[in-house]
Amino acid sequence: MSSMAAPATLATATAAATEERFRALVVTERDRLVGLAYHLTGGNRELALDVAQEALLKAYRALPRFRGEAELSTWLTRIVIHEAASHVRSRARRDRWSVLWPWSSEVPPEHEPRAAECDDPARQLEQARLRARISAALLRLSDGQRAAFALVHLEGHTVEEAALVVGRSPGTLKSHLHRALVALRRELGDLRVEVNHVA
Amino acid sequence: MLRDRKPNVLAPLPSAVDETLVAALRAQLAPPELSPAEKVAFAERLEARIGAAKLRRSRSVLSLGFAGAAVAASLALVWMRVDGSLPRSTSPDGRHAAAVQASAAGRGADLLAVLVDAENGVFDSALGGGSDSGGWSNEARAGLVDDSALWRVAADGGLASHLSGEYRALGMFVAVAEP
Repeated sequence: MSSMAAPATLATATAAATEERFRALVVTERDRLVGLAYHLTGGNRELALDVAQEALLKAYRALPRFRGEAELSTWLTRIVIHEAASHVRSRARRDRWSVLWPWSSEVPPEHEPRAAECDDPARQLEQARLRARISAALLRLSDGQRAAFALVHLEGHTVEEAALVVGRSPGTLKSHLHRALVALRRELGDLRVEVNHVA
Repeated sequence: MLRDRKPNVLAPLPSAVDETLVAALRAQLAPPELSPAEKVAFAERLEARIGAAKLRRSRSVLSLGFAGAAVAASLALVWMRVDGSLPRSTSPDGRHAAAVQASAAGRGADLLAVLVDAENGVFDSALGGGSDSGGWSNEARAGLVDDSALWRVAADGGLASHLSGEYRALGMFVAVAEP
């Protein structure tokens, strides 16, 4: 009996291994990717789930071509960042059109009060509006600034890790971070008081 | 690599105001925890989308194979026409045409063919065979149909005999269609 497997058998085995690898990946990475997408979409839960779905689907399609030049988690993070930026841009386009419909809700549905947050309706509404403000401020950042801010300040990566993920130099990433902070300070500078108040 | 890192090791915040701001944002943007039901729903939706993607991929492969076969047959037939000789079963091209015809006949299918006339730049054909080919051809000449117009050609030798006509074929697209 030949020790060499037929090419078709090898291809089938490789495909099966890829499928297996992908399913394991979904289990281990899902929560992290949803969390990252949540930060990158300005705290929009539904959008974050969509982004994570889309990113994993793209990863599935691309996995056979993944050459291992980056770590798998880095590669996935990069896909999520691109996907989130794409969704945010698409949402922004939609929102620009929605200006024509001024009777739309003042607080977007994704920032409606969370049921378990507290019992006081006034505080729930206050929290929802606060999240909407934060979300709007984050979404006004450029894609690069938002990714840098989310990776470093919300996800807790170092500048060098974040630079590796987004494929920029650490210097460029620091510049994005600085600009993001300036913009957020300008828009949310009073947040400290509000947070102390509602906490 | 990217997990369990302490934040901001290389990016100290420039001021106490920023520290407070970032802390507030972290508190407000704590990622959602998915419930077990949500995890199941997430996985099921992903599986369904992967299934759909696989289906699309297999359809694409089939389409590509079909198009590839059509192009190969087209090239062979166009070359026959340029050569000026009749596509007989004794010539290499004739063998190809005969094989296509035999295959089509064996499957009980028709050959579908489109000729592009090099002089007029419009579709032209009188490949015949099918009872309605004349009507389609007239429509094509009148510019009423576009690239999707296909002339039905009977698989019983009609194609080969019509290739001896006066056509200066710029391109010919041949496909085998179910009857």
